[in-house]
Parts: sequence; structure tokens; C-alpha cells
Amino acid sequence: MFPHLSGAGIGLRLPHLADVVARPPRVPFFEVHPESFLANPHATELLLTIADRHPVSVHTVGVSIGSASGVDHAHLDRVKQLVDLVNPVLLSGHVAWSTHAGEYLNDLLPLPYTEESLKVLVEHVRQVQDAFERPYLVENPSSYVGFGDSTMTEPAFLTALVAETGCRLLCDVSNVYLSAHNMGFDARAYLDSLPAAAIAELHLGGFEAEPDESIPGATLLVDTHGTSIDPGAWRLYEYAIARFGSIPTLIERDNDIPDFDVLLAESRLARAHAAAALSRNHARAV
Amino acid sequence: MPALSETQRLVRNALVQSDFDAVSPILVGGHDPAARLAIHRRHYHASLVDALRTRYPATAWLIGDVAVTTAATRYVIAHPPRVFCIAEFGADFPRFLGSEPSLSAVPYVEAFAALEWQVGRVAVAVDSPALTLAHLATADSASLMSSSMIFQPGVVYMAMGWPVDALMRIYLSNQVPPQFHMTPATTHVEVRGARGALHITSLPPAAWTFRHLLQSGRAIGQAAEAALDLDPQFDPGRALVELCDLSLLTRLA
Repeated sequence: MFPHLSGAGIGLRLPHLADVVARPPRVPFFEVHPESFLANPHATELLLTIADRHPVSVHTVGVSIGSASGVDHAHLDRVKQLVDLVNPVLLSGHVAWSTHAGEYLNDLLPLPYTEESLKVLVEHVRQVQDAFERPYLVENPSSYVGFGDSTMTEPAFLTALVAETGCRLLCDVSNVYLSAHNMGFDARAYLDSLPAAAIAELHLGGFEAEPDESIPGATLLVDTHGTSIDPGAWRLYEYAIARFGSIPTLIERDNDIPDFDVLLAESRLARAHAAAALSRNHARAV
Repeated sequence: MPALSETQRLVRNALVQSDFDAVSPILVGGHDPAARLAIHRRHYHASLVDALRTRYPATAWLIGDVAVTTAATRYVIAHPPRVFCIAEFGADFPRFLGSEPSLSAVPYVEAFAALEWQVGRVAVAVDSPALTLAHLATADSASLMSSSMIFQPGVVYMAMGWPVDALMRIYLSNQVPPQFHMTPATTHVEVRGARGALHITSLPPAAWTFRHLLQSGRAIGQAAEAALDLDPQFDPGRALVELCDLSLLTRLA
């Protein structure tokens, strides 16, 4: 679907903007959070310079398609103005909610996987795709808790959302790994049950282990985006590439942001892992 | 099974108000799912307190990081964000600081934090092409006095009851004098920023009033009259030329 986009891009955060403008690195694509730019015209100016040179993907964090109180159209309009300027190669957001009664809770919060939630998300994804006039990719969440009244699994929920709206999936491999650990499901089976044709992007980000207060002696993985990528997530990434093929992948770091060279090295590492997975596939085929 | 809106209200109350009792029965995950939901509560508080600390470093310099953190911790409970860009969160934090009993010994903290908010806002502005004197000269002189002006986006006029601009200059220059006495005094300030550059200028009341009224959309004639009321020696023509020289204007409205 996006034949011009491949390889491992890097999540571009404000501390690296000026350096990337001054010394354009060799990166397949950058991904930005529009909410970081809407109140920062200078950063937007730098971003537009970068968008002239590199493919840019826009990853919304505040659209909140899972909110029962609806999508905020004023915010959507502001994001659209930026999207129209950047003309991104991909546009994505989260299967989560962040707003309630006009409050923005600055987090990606869990949803019960029910028919009611599905109806809400279907309506909101349609609104978003209509507003942006382009496909919207929806990302699987990182989970610590679920809801007892969920009536379907997360992959089943995502599959239904794709079927109803024609949206695409952004599969965050680290989130799958983390959620599988925390919620006790099989990460590979999860990937196996996603609709492969809908996967348009993969994400990889760092997480950290901490004691699970709810299970003595156990650990909980917390999605911090503040460390390098875990070896287990790399192994699952190879599995994902083997299953989905060469899908554009993003290296994400939002906290304790290191030198850009560190991210570049992780981007190269992702390319190496993807190549290894694809060559194994090829070897099996012949 | 609660409706989605009710579920989200319960989760919201757990995050913001640490009320986990109502939401616990509907959660699953581990032996104590509410303890896991607390990860989101922790993130809500930590990320927003950190956003305020990042937005108000000069205020932390003035009153101490502990004081800002303590106030921010209370603020994020009382005033959850109603904006989607966290950089825009905390515009009324200065007023909150001003109402904190523990900060009553620093009566100028609200004015100082309000100035810092505007400094942060204009510092990331981008200038538009400036209106030149040559362009202004081509305007119809008969209608000029009834025209208004559009200013650069990174310009703010503030009138404050304390000379906190002097304090801000000390902070920005990182040259702290051995002693500095704050006494209440009405201060008229122009804050100008663009692409990271910043200028804070104290203006005489008449000049400040002229520029402030012009920026708020008043006609040149009205702004000039108000300035002349304050200072009969005020020269509106010269003031307009100065605005062009400083590249503060972008066009006639």
C-alpha cells in the first residue's frame, strides 16, 4: 500500500529538530506527534523543512478515538492544518481514550472490548478518516489492566474495526510483548490473529520492568519509551516481520531521549533484524 | 455492565482523584487490578507535574523547585488539562500560585509566573514579513487614523503590579546581584520573541498604552488619543515610525 516507504524510521522529538535540519541524517522516515507542534510555530517551521527532505509520518496522541464523549473536532481541525502542511506518508493514532467531559488526561487509557466500544470507535475512525481524507492507522495499546465485561479479544476487536472502517493497523510490537507479559496471553498467537493485509506500520519502543504489586514476586512491564528495545521485543519483531513481511517500522523514544546517533543505531538494528527474519523466510521457501 | 461513558468516568476519577473503590470491581488483571491501574494515575500526575516544571523553570528558580512541584501536584488534581497540547497546559497556573497560602511571602509570584508563561509562548513564535515605513507611507493618510494594525505573533503587552521584568532579566542573564529588593510598582512591559530570541522591554505608560491598544484592534486615532491622555508630549507619528523600525507590525488591518 505504501511502496515508497520501507525500513526503520525514527520518532522525531523536539530536542533533535534543529540538528536534523542542520545535518540531515540518512533515515527512511521520521514520525512526529502533531500535538508537540501545534503550539510551537518555530518547531513547525523546522518540521516543514524536514518534511521537504524526508518522508514524515504523523502519529496523533490526543485524538482519543475511544472517548465515549466524542472526538474533539476543534483539535482535529488543528491537527488537520498541520497534516495538510506536512502531507505525511502515514497518519495514525491509538485504540485508546484520553478525554472525558472536556478534560484531557494525557495518557492512552484502556477500553473494554465490547460491542458498545466498537460502535464508538467505528464512528470516530470514520469521522477522523473523513476529516483527514486519508486512511488512519490505529495502534494496539500497551495494557496493564482489562475489563471484566469485555466480550472479545483485542485482536478480534481490531479486526472488526478494520472490517467496519477500512482503517489500517499500526502494530506496536513492543506493546504486544508487554501486554502479553502483563495480561498473560501468547504474543505470537496475538500476531497470528491480526489481519496481516491491514498491517501498514510497526512500532518498537522501550519498556521497563517493575514489581507487580498485584502478584507477589512477579514483574510488570511498563511502557515508558525511555529505554532501548528489549531483546524479547526484538525476537517478537522478527516474528512479526516473518508474518507480515517488510513493513515500515518506527523506533520510538519519548523519555530520557538519547543522542540522535543512539536512535540511528537502533534503526540500523531494526533493519538487521528485519533482514534476518526475511532471509529465514526466504530460506524456508526455497 | 456500566456504559462506556460511566466506565471512563470511573477511570478518570481513579486517575485524577485517586478514587479506585468504584472502578476496582470492573477491572481485571493480576490479583489487584486497581494497583495496576495506578500506573496510569502515576503517569497522569508525573507527566503533568513535569510539564509544569518544564514550563515554569524561572518560577522554580524564584521560589524553589520543591515549591513549584508541590503547587503543581495540587494543581493537576484541581485543574485537569482542558487542552490537547501539553505545551498549552498551565496558562492559569500563575493565578493558582498566587492563591497558594504557602507562597504569600512572595506576593509577586503570580506576576512573575504570568510573565514567564508569556515568555515561553512568544519565544517559539515565528515572525511574519514586517510592515515597512515605505509601505505605511503608501496608506491613504485620510483613513490612516481609523485603521488598525496587525502585530507580529510573538508580541505581548503586559501591565503588572510588580517590576518582575527586572527579575526575569536577572534569571535570563544568569547574573544574580548580591541583593535585589522588590517593591510594588506598576510596570508596563513589551515581550517580544521569535525563533528562540527574546526581548523584554519596559515602556513608558503612554507608549505602552498606544502599542497595547493598537494590538488589541483599536484604530490608530483611538490609541493615539489614549496615549496623549496619559502624556501630552506623546508623538503618535514618531511612535508609528518606531513600530515599523522595530519590525513589530505586519500589516494594516
